[in-house]
Amino acid sequence: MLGRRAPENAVRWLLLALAVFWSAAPIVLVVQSSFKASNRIFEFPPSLWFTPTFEHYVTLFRQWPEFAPTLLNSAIVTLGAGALTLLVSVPAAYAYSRYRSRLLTWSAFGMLAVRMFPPIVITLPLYPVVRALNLQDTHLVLIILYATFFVSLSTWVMKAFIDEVPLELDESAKLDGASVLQLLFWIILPLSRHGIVASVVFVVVYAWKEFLFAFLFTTSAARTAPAIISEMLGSVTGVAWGPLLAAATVQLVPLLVFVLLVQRFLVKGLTIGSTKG
Amino acid sequence: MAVLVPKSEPHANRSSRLARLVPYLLIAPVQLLLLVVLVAPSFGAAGLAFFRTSFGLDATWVGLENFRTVFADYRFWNALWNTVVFVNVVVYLEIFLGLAIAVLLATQFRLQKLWISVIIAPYAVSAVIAVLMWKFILEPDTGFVNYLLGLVGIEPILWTVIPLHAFAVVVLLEVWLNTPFTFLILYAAVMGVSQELYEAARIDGARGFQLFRFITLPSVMPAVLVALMFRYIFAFRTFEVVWIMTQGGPLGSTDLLSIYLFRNGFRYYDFGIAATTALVMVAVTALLASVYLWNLYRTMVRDAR
Amino acid sequence: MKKQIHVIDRRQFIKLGGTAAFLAATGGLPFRAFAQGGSFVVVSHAVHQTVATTGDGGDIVSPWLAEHGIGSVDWRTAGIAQVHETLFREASLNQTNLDVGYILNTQLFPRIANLFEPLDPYLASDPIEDFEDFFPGMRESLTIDGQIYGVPVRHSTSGLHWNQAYFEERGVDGPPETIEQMAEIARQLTFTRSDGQPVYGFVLPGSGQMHANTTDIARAWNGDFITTDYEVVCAEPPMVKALTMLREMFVDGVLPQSLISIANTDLDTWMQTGRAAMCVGGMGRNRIYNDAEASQFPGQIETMSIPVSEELTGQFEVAPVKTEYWSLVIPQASQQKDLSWSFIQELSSKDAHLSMALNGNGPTRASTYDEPAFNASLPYAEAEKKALAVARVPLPAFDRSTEAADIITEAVQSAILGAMTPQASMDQLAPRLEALIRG
Repeated sequence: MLGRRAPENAVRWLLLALAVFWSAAPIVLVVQSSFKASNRIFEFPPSLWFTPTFEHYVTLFRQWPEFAPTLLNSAIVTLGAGALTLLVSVPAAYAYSRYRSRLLTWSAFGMLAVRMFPPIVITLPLYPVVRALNLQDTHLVLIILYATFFVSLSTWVMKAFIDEVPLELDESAKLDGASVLQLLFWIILPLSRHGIVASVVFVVVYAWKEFLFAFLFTTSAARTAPAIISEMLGSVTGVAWGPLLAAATVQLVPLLVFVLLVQRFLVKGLTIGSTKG
Repeated sequence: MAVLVPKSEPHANRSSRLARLVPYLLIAPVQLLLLVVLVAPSFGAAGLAFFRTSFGLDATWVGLENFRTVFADYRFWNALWNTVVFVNVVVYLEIFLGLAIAVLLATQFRLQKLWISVIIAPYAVSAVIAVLMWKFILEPDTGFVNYLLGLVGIEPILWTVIPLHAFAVVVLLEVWLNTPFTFLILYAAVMGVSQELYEAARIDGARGFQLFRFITLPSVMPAVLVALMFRYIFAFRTFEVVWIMTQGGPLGSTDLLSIYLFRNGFRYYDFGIAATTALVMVAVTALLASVYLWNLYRTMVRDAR
Repeated sequence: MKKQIHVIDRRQFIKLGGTAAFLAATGGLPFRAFAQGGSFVVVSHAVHQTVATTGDGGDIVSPWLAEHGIGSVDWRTAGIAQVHETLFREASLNQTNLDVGYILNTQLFPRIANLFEPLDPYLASDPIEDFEDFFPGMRESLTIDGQIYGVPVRHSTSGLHWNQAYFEERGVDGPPETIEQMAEIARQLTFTRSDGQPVYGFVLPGSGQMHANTTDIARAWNGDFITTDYEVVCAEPPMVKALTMLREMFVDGVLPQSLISIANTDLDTWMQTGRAAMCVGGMGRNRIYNDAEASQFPGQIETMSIPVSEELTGQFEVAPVKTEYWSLVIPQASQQKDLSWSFIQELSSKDAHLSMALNGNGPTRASTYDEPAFNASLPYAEAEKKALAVARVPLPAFDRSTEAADIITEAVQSAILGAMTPQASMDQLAPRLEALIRG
């Protein structure tokens, strides 16, 4: 495409450096600073070489004992949402892939149209309903909410992957006497396991990051990390940066690693999710 | 003449009836979930808009009064205006940045995978962490940015106090968080442009920017439009970043429709007013998505006979 | 012939393994935290926990805990607005593990009272000693439709706090006798210390609660935003004069530029570190500002009544400042209400009020003011008594008072920052407040 002469090359790399700096510098700064002694956190220029200290992490878990359980809650809710999403969208994806009918087409249209709803809208009616059902402050309520907002995308992505599995396999399995569920579980799923990852990746990321529902529908037992960190941010006695940075690092790094691992599934999922629909 | 009868179907009629039901049973869980958690409550929310209801107050029918109240509320119009400006600024910045970085990375660097990973890293950052991050960087007295600005003699960024600064900062955060999204879509699109087109253009004497303007841009325009539409719809919903950072302040300069809704619903506990705002949001979203939905309808329902 | 079937995806396995490793690494800490049950949950402002547990008056909660065999009180503390949001949300559930709440007088309007237990039955069967001792005005406003919904536990009446050390250092004659003098002194006390720390002559927390904070100043002219009779008077001269004074102080750098981001609780740090020379706020704060451990000026922060303006000298001895009071309430959704009542009784006894007062609380019992220990220990006891005699609430309680407080805050911020002139800002505010009062 573009020529590779030296000055142009230098410009390319410079621009890349800028783009990389824009994306990564805040993250690196936060993670790095969480290991710096308090009096060096704000020093400028931020030195790359320093003796790391874990004092902020210790302070974090000592002074905010409510933090650690929220990480577990986040993990439970994330896993749960992923599982629920898969549970409901895989069968549906198979149906949309292998069958055709007016009703199915309309339901697919409805499913994708519903993606357009702003989540905040349903918080109002659900607020009293969740309380009435005693689902307030449970993992289940978050699992259900998170899964709901991603089943559409999930189903659609999964469908694209199932489309790739040849129909003949279906036929031969049925001839062998397999039920639909057996067919799904033993034949289709293994052959489209990349689809599983691609379709569940988005809800996993969302569940780990989400704030609004966690803030509204949980109070203590099922509180997730983002909600508690926002409380720490607005904390009454001024901001204690050390432990805050430590908390940020702890919440951020696992998801960061995950996103980097599943990078290509993100791309695949996004492409499928946004083309045609 | 033998008719091939499947071994496992002794009761042909019952099985074939069941068989017809199979796809609907398979999609039932998904549709049920969506109906119960999304669709039904949405109608509920729509209904709430016609009642006066709050804690310790039984719901009473008030007809269109909530609408009158909302449309007479200066804070509503303030939020609406802010949202319009916010969405437009954010979306075009994201598209611009996403496309620029996509084109840049399409030139293929050494360690390409590494750079792509870095570019999409912000996607892993939750709104809370992003606010924390940038609050840290933008600390008025001791933060890095203001220190740097001080060195150059520029006034510090006082986002807690100066409305324009606050608005700029929340725009910055939204763009930072969402550029990976536009980047990924546009990168795929740019990479999909056929090399032959470039060769042909080069033979015709085109170079550099001309190649971009006449080959790349037209080819990725469909993807740009898709990204644009999705980002419009999602930017319109922005809540978390702004709520955690400024709660709509200072002086209502970062007050968005979602913040207005939240505040009326969960700070003033006026669920009727909040529901009215919700209806407005859904209406605008439907408008923004209308092109997408119409297209969807055409390709899926009408033409799929 | 079957293909190799993966029952569980590699990534799912990693996730599960990760969780197990996490649990092992934290020694099962999360589960231990869950298992910690059987405590008593209270939602309050941080200051309530402080006055009930630390200071010269001692810890009045521990004996009660021992008596009832409870491990600890789970104090959920947060800022004023947050406290009420949490309280109302919890109280509106079917069941809540919240046992007692603290509520500010402005927030206990009739509609919300439905969420809380009427206390008359409890008072009848298991009374609080000498209930008439509680200030009648407070008891009255807690009574709705003949039933009383809360027990007053703390009042916070504003005074002027000033750093004596700075007065001496700068050779200023204090304390000020009129509010105008105060503004003048504030100018003189705005300087940079020898260690490079800038000192502001006066600090007013500008982030939220401005309906209350500004009223303190306005009362020097007997001004208000809304009177107790629900009349909107924000555009009248008294309030406008107050705002003009504040605006001028802001322009002259006497008030910090970051004013509107300073929260009420940040003020503690500002006074303790000497970044502020003077401030107004609850007199009980005197104890915190002079705290030997946290303050750089222990014993040097004085507290007095807020002076009136020149024009009102003679009419009022001291400015009729704002007083706000907190009451203890029991949500109807609470699970152990008898225990909740027992807690309230404990905190409401005469002894408890004296102890809390010695810890910096503003007692809501008249008799506490006659206690010699109280008068001896608190340098501002006399001033507080004088102020209490004329003080009033900053805003009357009505359904939409939260929203009113918000738009008042914005209007005041607007005036101080100079986005609008004080008069213009108040003129714009008045009809908006009227609309909210009409509901």
